[in-house]
Amino acid sequence: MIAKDELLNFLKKGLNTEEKAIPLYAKYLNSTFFLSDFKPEDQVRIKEVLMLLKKESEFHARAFENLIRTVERSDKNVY
Amino acid sequence: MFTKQDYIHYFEQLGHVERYMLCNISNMLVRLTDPQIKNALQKISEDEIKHYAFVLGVFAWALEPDRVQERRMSAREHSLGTVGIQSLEKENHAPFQGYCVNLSKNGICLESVQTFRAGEHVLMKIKWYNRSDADIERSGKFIWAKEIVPGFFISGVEFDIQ
Repeated sequence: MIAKDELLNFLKKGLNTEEKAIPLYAKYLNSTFFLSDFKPEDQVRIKEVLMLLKKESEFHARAFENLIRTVERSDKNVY
Repeated sequence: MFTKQDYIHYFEQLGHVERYMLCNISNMLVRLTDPQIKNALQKISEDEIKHYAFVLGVFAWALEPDRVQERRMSAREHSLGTVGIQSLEKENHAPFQGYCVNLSKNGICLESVQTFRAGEHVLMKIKWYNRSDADIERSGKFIWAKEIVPGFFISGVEFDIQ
């Protein structure tokens, strides 16, 4: 079990981590030189991976925001 | 222009982010009892496992394909868990916690906010997130360490022969 305050701190930290990860995934997505040493088909695969990581991190950030709202609004003190 | 080392460093940072998220959520899931919050975090955790596998996949087929054979030979497994690390040489050095990156029969690669000089002898208590087998306790010595993001190190530790 975990107290409300500690859970909120954890969820806020999770949100912060996801928000910091998004620009890291996106950092080179539009760079012409990034991955230029790789074969074209490998470039496509790596960019697909980075796009997916970015997209799902955005989704996770929204999920953390929703959880924070849920916990903040709840009367429950132990989770 | 980007060098191979630049790519490796960038994907090491991505691997660190994924492991960090996964370990934090795993630590929280074992304590939570609320089904709604637990289910939501479980779904995020499953995505993080998938993300981590994608990052490891990029290493395996694009960045370090020559090391795939080496990995197979040493039967290295990407096992995630916490590692309690205690110096066996410095009595006054407080134990600290790291995270397992991968494991072979010869040693462990771990991440932590502290590290030791090469040759430091340590005791490690390893608790798994993604394995059903029992937690283990092994001694070993630090072989190498590298700072992958500021204040966060990845280190290789060779187990003592039992």
